[in-house]
Order: sequence, then C-alpha cells, then structure tokens
Amino acid sequence: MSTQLFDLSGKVALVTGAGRGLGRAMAGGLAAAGARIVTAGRTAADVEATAEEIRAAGGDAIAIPFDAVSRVENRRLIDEAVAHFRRLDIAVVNHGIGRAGPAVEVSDTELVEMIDINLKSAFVCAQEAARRMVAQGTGGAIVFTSSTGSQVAFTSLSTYGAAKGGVDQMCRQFAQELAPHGIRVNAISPGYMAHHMRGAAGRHETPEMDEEVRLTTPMARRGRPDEMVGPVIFLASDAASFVTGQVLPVDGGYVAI
Amino acid sequence: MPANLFDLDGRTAIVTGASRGLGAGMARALARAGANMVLAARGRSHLDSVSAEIVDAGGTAHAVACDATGRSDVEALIEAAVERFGGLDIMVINHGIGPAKDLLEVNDEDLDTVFATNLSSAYVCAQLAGRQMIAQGEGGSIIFTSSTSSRVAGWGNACYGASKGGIDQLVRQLAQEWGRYGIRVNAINPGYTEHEMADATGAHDAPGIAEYIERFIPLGRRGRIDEMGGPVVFLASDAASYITGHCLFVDGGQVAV
Repeated sequence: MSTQLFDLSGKVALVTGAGRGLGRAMAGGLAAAGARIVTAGRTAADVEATAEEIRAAGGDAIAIPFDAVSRVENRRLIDEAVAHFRRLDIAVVNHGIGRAGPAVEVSDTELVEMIDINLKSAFVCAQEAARRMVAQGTGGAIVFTSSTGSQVAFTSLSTYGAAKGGVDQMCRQFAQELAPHGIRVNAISPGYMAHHMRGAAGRHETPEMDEEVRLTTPMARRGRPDEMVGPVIFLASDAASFVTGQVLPVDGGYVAI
Repeated sequence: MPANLFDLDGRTAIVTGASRGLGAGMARALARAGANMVLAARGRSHLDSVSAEIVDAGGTAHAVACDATGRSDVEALIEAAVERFGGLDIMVINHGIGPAKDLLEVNDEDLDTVFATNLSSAYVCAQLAGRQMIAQGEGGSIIFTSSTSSRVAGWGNACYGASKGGIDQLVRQLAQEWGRYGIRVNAINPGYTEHEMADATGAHDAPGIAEYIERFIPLGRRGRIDEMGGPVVFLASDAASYITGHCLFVDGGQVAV
C-alpha cells in the first residue's frame, strides 16, 4: 500500500501556537509526515519543547518564539524560518486564545484583545507567509485553525465567535486571491477537544460540559489533539490539490446537527 | 511518516459507479492505500477492466454487476463483500446520473429517474451498509459522492441539484444517527472535473464553460479524476477519525467565491 499522496518530505512547515495543545500535535504530525518544522509561539520553553520532541523522534525542527500580535515579529518569524530552512511551503496559523463572557458585559479591552489575537494576527501571519510563498513561486498551503464557534453559537463566546467567523471568511478570501499563485488556503474547525486553549482553562472540563458534549456531539465524545493530525496533513499535502477555500470541521459531527 | 493514519490495509471497501470517471479513480486510490476493493456498476465490461487494472497494480479487487436502484441487488453486493473479504468497512456511494434540463421542461419521468438513481438508491446503499457495519460492531466509514450542485445553482441543474441537496442532508442525518456506532458519514462534493458522468448533458459542458472555469474558479481549471483519490482515502481512513457529517468540497474553490 502507498500513502505517498500524503507525504510531505522536502517541505517546510510553520506552525504557530505550536507550544501546546492542537498546535503541538499538528507540528509533530506534519514532522512525522516528512516536513521540516518551525515551531512558533509566545512561550520560548514550550515551542522549544515541541521542537525537541520532533528532533527526538528523528525529525527536523527549530523553535522560533514570537509575539503574534506584532507585524514586525511576524516578519521576523518568516525571515528566520526561511534563513534556516531556505524555503516555506506550509503555514499552519493556529495560535489563538479562548475567552468567554456574556456579550452585554464585554469590555473594549476584551474585544480588542480577542480580535487582535484571533483575527488580526492570523491575517498578518498568513499574509507574511503568503508573501514569501508568492516570492518563492512554488505554491504552498495555508491552514488556519478556526473553530466550530465560527458558524454556530456557544454560550458567552460572542467575541471568540466573531473572530473565528472572520477567520472562515478570510480563508475563502485568501483562497480566491492566492489561487493564481498555486497557494491553497483552508481551515480546520475543531469542536469539543480534550484540551483547553490559553485563556479557557477550567471552563471545558466540568461534568456538566462532559454531559453536554455527550448529548450534542454525534460521536458522543471529545476529539483528541492527535485527531487534528490527519486533517492538517491532508490539507497541507498534494492529496488536497483541488481543495481550497474550505472550512473542515473536525468536530465529531457537532455542526452537522 | 504516520503512514498508518491513512493506511487501509485489511479494510474492505465497496465503490458504486466504479466502472469509470470519479468512481474508478476513487477505487484505484483506495486500492493503492491497501483496501480490498469491491467494485460495483450496472454493466460489467468497464468494471472488469478497472478491476483488472487494480489487480495488475498489486491490489485486490472483486467486480460485482449491480443495479443500485434495486434493493435486492444492493443486498447481494454487500453480501458479496462480506463473503469475499469477511466484512465491510468503507462504503463509497458514488453512482449517479447528471442530466441537465431547463426546469420548466422537467417532467415526472425525469424527476423519478434522477431521484430514484441519485437519492433513493443512495439511501438504500447507505442503509444496508450501515446495517452491516452496525452488526459487525466495529464502526465504519460511509462516503457519498455529492456535488457542488448541492449548494450552488447551475444551468439545468434544478432536478440534479435537488437530488444532491438531499444527499448532503442525508449525510448529516446519518452521521447523527450512527455516530454512536462509530460509523462516520461524509460526502465529497466535486466541482467541475475532467470526466464524463452517465447521461451528463448539461452545465459542465455548456458553451463558454471553459472560459468561465478559467476566470471564476479560483484554481482556474477542472479537477482531475485522481484529485478525488486523496479526499476519499482521507475520509475513509483513521486520519479522519473525528470527522463526520461533513460535505467536503473538492472544487478548486468554486463554492468559496
């Protein structure tokens, strides 16, 4: 049997938010599929740990800590990645935060922080990666981590949902504009996962939430971070060569019902 | 490379409408990923050559003549898979017809033919495959071939589009009902592709379509038959273990714009 279609040997992949959770799992998965990896994120020790894990498994990775909300930092990230690996083929724009609060009580500070981190910085990061891919002239794949919260409502996730709804539309828009350059742009929307993102600790893992997951998810369980690996390899690889502008829920069927 | 994520060794897959076009392409891809193939179509002649091609390439294939609009034929098809390979793990329901006709001219016979072939018989195939998978107790993956016409309109597609819209909702419904059994149900929605569908007379070959595709499909071309291979192997495999109820558009970005 052959799974050559999904092989990423020779490709260089950037994963932001690679220090923990889904980003860490996706970075390891892309490395196992043959890609050389740049693990990027805010906390140096975390992204270094992911890179070390990849190297220990026989892969090739470097860690580049960066602050995603800064344009200059995004540029530096791409420059350093390319300086090290000489190219960039895949960008997984995965960093983000989760915060919840009733819409009527959301402050300007909370709103601006959410939009800056989950939407604006994702735009800037993808844009800087795209500039490099366009200059390189060999196409590429950009994959955003969105959320089921981009298309259905959850209690108190108005700012998060607005940011992720923006990511979905950004995905389609980037797909349209970058297609002439052979760059495909897609998103993965995780549903209830067995991990919590930065800022969302505690809210996810109550017995009430577990019951809600069981009742509202057709597969009746949370997803595991490693279940993001297949989807990101698929979208990053030639196996998805005619797939662009798509938002792929990895949610056990949550948004289907 | 986590090759085993996409590996279908030891799994048994049925593909209906496997004698040509997308069905034959998907069957080849599933066989290359290691699945034991059961190929179904009304007529044997093309089917036997696809089967022989798979066997020549080192795969395993068994051809079954089957009129998918007859419940007893579909029962026999599933029995053949079980008898030959010991079970059924993957069901690709791909057969269909695509006659285009101005909606004002569509008659009852057109409706009955298209709905019976594209929707009711697809339902029966899924139902019988689901029964077999539930009895086996080890889950499974059911994949429908839908179409971009399930979501967007095109000339002459009123009847065809309605049948495919029905498929998309059937996907979500079955995903909800069978999630508890570990059976995942998804669709692949191809856009403009390089193939001829049985009785396709319309939108895909209309005058001016080449220019339309070049200007308005983001990737600017038709999809190749082999570009359905990656998506079907992905959805059939453990790489998509938390994906159900989703319609995956393989359309070069058509529905994103």
